[in-house]
Amino acid sequence: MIRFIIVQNRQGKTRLEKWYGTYSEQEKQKLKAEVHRTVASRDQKHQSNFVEFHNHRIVYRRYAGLFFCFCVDTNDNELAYLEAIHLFVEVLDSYHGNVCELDLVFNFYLVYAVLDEMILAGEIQETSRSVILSRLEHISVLE
Amino acid sequence: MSFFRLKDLIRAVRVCKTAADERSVIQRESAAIRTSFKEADSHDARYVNVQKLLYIYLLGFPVQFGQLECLKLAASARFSDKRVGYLGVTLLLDEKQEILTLLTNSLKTDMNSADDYVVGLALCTLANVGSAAVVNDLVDEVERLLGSARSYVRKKAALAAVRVVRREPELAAAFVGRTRALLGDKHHGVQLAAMALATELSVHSQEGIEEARRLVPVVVRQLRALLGGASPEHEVGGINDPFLVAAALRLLGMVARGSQDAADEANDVLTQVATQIVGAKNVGTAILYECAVTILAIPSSQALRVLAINLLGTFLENADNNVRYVALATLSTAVITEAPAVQRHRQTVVRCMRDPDVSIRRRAIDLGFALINAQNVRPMVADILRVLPHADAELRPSIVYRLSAAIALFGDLLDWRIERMLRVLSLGGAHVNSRDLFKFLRLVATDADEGLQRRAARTCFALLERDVSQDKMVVAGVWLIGEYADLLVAADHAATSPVAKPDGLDADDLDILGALGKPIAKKDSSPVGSIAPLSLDEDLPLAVPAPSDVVRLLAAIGRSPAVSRTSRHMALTALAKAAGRFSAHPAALASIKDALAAHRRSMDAETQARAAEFDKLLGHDLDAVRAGVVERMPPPEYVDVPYEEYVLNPTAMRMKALTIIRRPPLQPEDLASSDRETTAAAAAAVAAAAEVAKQSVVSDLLNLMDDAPTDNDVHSPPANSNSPSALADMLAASALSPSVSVSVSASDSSGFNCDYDVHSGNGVRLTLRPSKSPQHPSVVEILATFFNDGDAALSDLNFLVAVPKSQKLQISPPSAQTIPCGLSATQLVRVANPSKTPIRLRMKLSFVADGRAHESMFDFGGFPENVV
Repeated sequence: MIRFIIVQNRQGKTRLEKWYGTYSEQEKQKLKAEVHRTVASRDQKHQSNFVEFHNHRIVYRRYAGLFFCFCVDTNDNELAYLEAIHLFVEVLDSYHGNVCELDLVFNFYLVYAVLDEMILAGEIQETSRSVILSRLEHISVLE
Repeated sequence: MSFFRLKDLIRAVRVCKTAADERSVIQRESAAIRTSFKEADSHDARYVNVQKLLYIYLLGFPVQFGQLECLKLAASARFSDKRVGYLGVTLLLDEKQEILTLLTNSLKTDMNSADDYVVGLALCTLANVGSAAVVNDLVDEVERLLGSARSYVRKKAALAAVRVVRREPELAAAFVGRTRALLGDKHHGVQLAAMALATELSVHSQEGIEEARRLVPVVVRQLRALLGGASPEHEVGGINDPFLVAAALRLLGMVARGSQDAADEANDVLTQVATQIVGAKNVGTAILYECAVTILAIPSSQALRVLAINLLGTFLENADNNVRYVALATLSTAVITEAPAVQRHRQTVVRCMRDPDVSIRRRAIDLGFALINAQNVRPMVADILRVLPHADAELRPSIVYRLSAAIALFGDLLDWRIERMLRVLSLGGAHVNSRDLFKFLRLVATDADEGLQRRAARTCFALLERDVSQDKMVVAGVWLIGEYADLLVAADHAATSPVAKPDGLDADDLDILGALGKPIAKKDSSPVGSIAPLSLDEDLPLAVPAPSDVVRLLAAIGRSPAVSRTSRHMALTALAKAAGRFSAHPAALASIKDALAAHRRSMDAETQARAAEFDKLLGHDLDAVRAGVVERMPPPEYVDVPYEEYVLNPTAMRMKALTIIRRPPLQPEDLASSDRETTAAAAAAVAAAAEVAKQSVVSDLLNLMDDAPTDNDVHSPPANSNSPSALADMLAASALSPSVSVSVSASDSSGFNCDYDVHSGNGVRLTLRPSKSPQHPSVVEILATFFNDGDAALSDLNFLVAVPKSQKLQISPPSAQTIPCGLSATQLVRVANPSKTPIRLRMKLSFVADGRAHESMFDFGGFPENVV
């Protein structure tokens, strides 16, 4: 299962954090700093997108200046999660129309809505882009 | 000052130039929100305030004061309020907080709402932060919602059920009967959630796994449909809903573990996946990877398993780092069960050792070591040696250590082991640890014959002529050159030497000792310090050096600023030894004196002292004693702790189920082939009859025998003193010549050097083996050996001993505090017994096995009377 999801920019500013396990506030702060240190320093070209992290593994992908990091169990399928990250970014992209970091800053609560439609309880919930997008549209109409 | 809207706050934060500015903006805003919470009670204000709080939270500032407001907002009737309220709950609260139980009621109401979206929000919140108390209260609602008419609700309810089962495994029964219908759902999202639920249920409950096994045909049918059908909505990279395929494979792997029937049912569809899916893109490889993992996890057919390994083998050639990474990780586990199939990809693994990605290199090296066995040890060691000079600095110590272990564990011929160890030292000598170095020197000193010792010394000479940058190489080389200086310079008589020719080195192997007789390259005046990297395939010239060459080299090492202080002292000692060996070469003696004299003014007190002492020793007045002082060292007395095979494959150690197959611990041919030893043994046998003083030699000999790995004792029943059958066991095991048997029996009747069974229980057996060191006649050394006969690894081993007041006790630390199944650990206890009273021990043994702590106390006074 996914333990947590963190989206950070290259400076280490967190743009999205979602914890599916239980962590105390101090642990969260520590983990965010550690994830940034671990991931940002890696060589994009010559290194894999997986890195061991405590007893788990971080699957990450960089889009422009943003690192999308999923912390998953070591026996999980890393390649599939890599694909899931891509799907998430694709959905964000369609939803915002060419998404950029500022969209995530100003509409952070919408990003959470996208995430909640796609991943729940640390498991992937929906993989169809059109289903997710039509659902989000309905919700925005309701507001 | 308060910002009216969220956007204004975000902008205000964004224009801040410094972190201090940002802090002050946030602090003011937080204070304003706090006041607003206290005063106003309007929903509008609360909605905006909570939104702002969440933004502040994301910036990393404390906003715990807003928790209650989130709860209030979630209880609001408006949908937009609810959304922000529940989002606040999932971000600011976690299951550990009591306040969460206040949420139960609004969750319950919302789950019963007629509006899908409200139900969805409630389920989502439960699935993300539900605590044990909350899930207990809401399990009925979740169960009811699993049957909802809307797929949107069903999939969320299924995932909420996953959370429920994770928090309260006892509630699993409520969902076990529901998985079949959910798996058969026509909506992909529901199916995906159902796979997750079924997987989770089979982890947490026996019923869950039984039900899931019954569901195998359903899952198989669905996989078939996915492989055959097409659904553009869920397609990624030309593959129909890869996430669902991967989840189905995962579920199969989970439930068919340990069930032959389930594995047979899955067999065909797994073959279909493995052959039909194209692994050109990441999506395809993700599925193939999941498929291979599933095949290896369940009792699938042999052909399929080989197919899986070959799939992973092709991954190793993939251009994508990620794919190579996962393949290596999986193969390291698979090598334990599928060794022959994995061995076929050895060359690819070796190639990965030079991968540009460090984590792949690291894993390839780990896997490479795990692949080593008695058949391929030669090419593998050669391959890894080739990689060693290019390996990352942080990996080198572990590579060098594992190479030493692999050579010792699987090397069958002594000359090969010595040659390879020299190669390890010359390439990675800076990282060899002292224990491995000592083991190697001991091997040359005790097990090798003169021919081998000469060859080792010559190789060292040639290697040190080129390079003194590898610290432990210098230590080993200088010691061997000094110790065997006479052999080194003596003319060759290869024909008379029994193992002079390095036989058995196959073509794949790199023979550095082969080129005997090539003329030595004429060196400049100072060869030392010039670092010429050695290529592994290069032959070393092994000409016979003249005594003057030897002295020149040792003197140069002694002078060199590049070597460590220890190496310098070793070089001085070697010079002193050489003086004893070269007494027939006055010219060499003169240059030794010069070399030593140069250090008499050394700034280092220790170096100066040694130079002065050795200089004195070389004076004419000491001619009579010199030879005795510098004569060859007796074989070092040392209880060898053998390498364990799991050093090479740490994954194996983690998988407790594995039975570690070890190489037969004793090599009779090694012992027998060493004629020096047999001579010593014969001499000892004669002497033992005549002289009690010579007992020490005999016990040396017995120690030698003990040097064979102690796990020998695992196989032979513990010997009782004076029992002829036990004696026969010992002799049979040691395969020593009959002449020795006399001395063994003479010594054995003393009660020393045999095992006494002291305690056994809780999967642990303890034996004691008393021995005596010739230097300390009043001290009895007792080697305690703990065998783990149980089925679980032992940890936190703690062994305490007490003796009567007239005796004194010294306990060394144990060789290991953790003992894997079937292995043993040792601990040395010294009892000083000047009054020669009978030895009585009171022992307390405590350890943790299988998560439970065991402790036992027992006494032992069963040594024969003469063991004092």
